[in-house]
Amino acid sequence: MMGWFSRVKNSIRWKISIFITVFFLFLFLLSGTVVYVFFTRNLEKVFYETNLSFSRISGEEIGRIFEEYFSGGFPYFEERVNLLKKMNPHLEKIQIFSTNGYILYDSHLGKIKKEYKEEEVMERIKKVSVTRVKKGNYFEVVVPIMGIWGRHLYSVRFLYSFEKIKRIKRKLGWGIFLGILLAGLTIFYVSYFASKMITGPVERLSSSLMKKEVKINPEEYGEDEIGKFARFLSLTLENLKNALRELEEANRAKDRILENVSHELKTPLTAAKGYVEYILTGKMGKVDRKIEEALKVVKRNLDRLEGRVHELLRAREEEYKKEYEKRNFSLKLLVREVVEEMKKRAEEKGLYLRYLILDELPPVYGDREKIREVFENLLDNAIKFTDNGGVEIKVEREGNMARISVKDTGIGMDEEEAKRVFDKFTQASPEISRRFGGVGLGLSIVKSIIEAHGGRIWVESRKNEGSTFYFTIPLYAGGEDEEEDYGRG
Amino acid sequence: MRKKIMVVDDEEDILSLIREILEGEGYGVICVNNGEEAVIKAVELQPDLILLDIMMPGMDGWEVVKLLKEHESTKDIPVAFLTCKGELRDKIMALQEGACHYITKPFTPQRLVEEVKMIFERTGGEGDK
Repeated sequence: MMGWFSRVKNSIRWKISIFITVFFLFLFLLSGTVVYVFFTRNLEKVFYETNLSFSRISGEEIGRIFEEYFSGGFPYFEERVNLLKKMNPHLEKIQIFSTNGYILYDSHLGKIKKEYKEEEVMERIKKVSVTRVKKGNYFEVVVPIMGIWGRHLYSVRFLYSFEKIKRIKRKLGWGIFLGILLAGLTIFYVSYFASKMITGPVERLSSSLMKKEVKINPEEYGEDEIGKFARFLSLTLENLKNALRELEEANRAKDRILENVSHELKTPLTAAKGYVEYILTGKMGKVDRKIEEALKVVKRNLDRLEGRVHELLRAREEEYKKEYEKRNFSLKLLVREVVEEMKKRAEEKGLYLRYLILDELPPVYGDREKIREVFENLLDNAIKFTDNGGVEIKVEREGNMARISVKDTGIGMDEEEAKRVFDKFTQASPEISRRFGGVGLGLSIVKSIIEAHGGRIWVESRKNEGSTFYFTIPLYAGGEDEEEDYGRG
Repeated sequence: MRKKIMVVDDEEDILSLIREILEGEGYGVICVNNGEEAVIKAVELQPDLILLDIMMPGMDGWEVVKLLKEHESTKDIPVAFLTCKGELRDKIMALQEGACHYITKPFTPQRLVEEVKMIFERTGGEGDK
């Protein structure tokens, strides 16, 4: 039942055809009822009137031949009565009563003399006018027969059966009912196929959209509304495809440029660094202390430059690396590990670095090394941009996710800066970039890692009041079966 | 006998740096700045090791290796790529092409020397100084 219902609910074709069918069935039923009532009423009226006049005419006749009965004998009388009976198929019985209630003749029983008891009939027998009465399954007419001097001789009682009329009514009813049923079926069939004119092309359209190679041939759909829609859709698709292709090309071009740039940057770096290092080994001649100091400065700056070039390339690789090695691990242990690692740097700057695990958590599900990178990146930034106070990590449960916040008391950002902080090549300001280094790829990588895990990352920050970075990662859904292997790599 | 090492790179500065370092370690160094010349010189001079850059204008490193491996007299000379293309798929491709080693730029002088020594150890010859 439910399956049937949802099948109708999910198909315009079924809805249209059922709607039209129900509507027409209702219409037909209404008109069918009107026809039936009108027809049967008239039929009954005709039935009464015909039988009444038949009774009148044949009453006279019977009176006459009943007189003849005495001269012509019973078989002759009976033959005449049977003839009358044959003339009217509704006629069930003819009785002749004497004025004091004796049955002189009954067409079922032959000639009988018997007292009739029924008072109700007695009244009608005694009347000198034609009476008629509807009585159960019968219609009764009593006709008085007069003698020469106006004397009431006998009364003839005719009984007509409704049986045949009823049969006709029943037949009519069934006829109308079957007609409606047939019409309903035809209408359903026709509307089902008519609605295919709408749903057919739409179905074809959607199935060609579902295919891997999406392609719509608008000629297939003609010039009607759906044809126009198909043409519009195929145009839109074409535009989308072109846009996608352009985007892919732009992306490839960007990759090529990035690759070339990094090559162009690395080559001079290699030469410069190589020479500096080689000079520092002393193999090219003795290096005195002052020059050595200067060369070390040169080398340190070259190292920094090299680090930036690496960062640039890493961002590109990160975009392509969608495969993560996901497994369960304990967030608590990871946080503890990362904090141990970064503590020294914080202490060097005179900052505190602490963590709070607020809820009991099942293991989280993800790539431990990547999540570790996220922590390192966020903590690195937090320490970098904080001069007083410190950094605090909080871990909470939020539904089936773990929510982690990294809060610092550093320089903070204004709204504009906070908005762009996860974009590529963005740093809060050129001034900050100069002061703290980096090309601004760290947070965009962090964001892509978190999003690849199905999590979310956002920041709340106020200028000069510090920043709080929040992110979520999914908890392991299958319960707390395995508590992490602790080792690295 | 001194080991002869052929260095192929389109950057003159890198060539002179490597020459400086490897001659300092006592190797004989032949510098070539393009792929075509590298193939000709390799056949002619039969070096003991070739350090080859991949990204060069004209004939690139991949083509040079292919030609060297096809040629009877040079097919046994070990080839090491010297390049900034550090991705894993490049490394795998290099090994498939027949290069025996892969040194990524930027490199430090010590690392270069160590790598070269290691290649000689592995291919059997001892580096005379």
